[in-house]
Amino acid sequence: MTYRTNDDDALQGALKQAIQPITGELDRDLWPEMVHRLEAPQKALPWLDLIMASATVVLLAITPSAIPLLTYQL
Amino acid sequence: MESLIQPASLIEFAKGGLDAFEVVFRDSQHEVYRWILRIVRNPAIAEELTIETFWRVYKSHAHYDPGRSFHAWVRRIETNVAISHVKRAPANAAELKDIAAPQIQDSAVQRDTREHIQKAFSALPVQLRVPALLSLIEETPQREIAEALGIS
Repeated sequence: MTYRTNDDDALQGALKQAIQPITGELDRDLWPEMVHRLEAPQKALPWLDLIMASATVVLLAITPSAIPLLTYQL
Repeated sequence: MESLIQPASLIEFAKGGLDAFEVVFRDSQHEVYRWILRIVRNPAIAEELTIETFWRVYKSHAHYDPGRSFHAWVRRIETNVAISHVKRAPANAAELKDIAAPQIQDSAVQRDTREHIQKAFSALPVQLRVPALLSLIEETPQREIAEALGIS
């Protein structure tokens, strides 16, 4: 059970004077936009980025001495 | 919440059926919009996030268990979408004013106090601002807020 004090009520009153409850209804059907979104082409995977990252990881695994050099370059 | 969705539609939705998705979309879009609007307080953004919510709902259809409440499941998703938006967007005291509400005629002191309160409220961390907004301003039952936010 929650106990409320006069201070709580005063605080809520001040807040509600400063910030109005928002009212609003959706005045149109969003289904056509939903269909548009569903039919939109999917973002292609950044294959080149993935290949470059994988190659870097493999290279660093083979030659760990290159890690400080790469870190310095970054 | 009064829902007209038949259990068969929910089973079909869980299998990825587009027709069933349309049924659940049309049944739930208004409720989803209203809830998001309470959090983001901007009708245009609420529409955009309603679409985003259903996009995620559709993509996650395989994770939905038709034996459980569809609306409770969607509520968690829509709340996450709305909160993510609030976190990304800079805190804006202007959005705390209901654009549909009549302008209050008051003294400069009252206006100043109101603006200070709005500014202070906007400065709250999102994890406090959203529950406070829903509870103190929108007077949403605390149980509903806790379920939507996944807190007890």
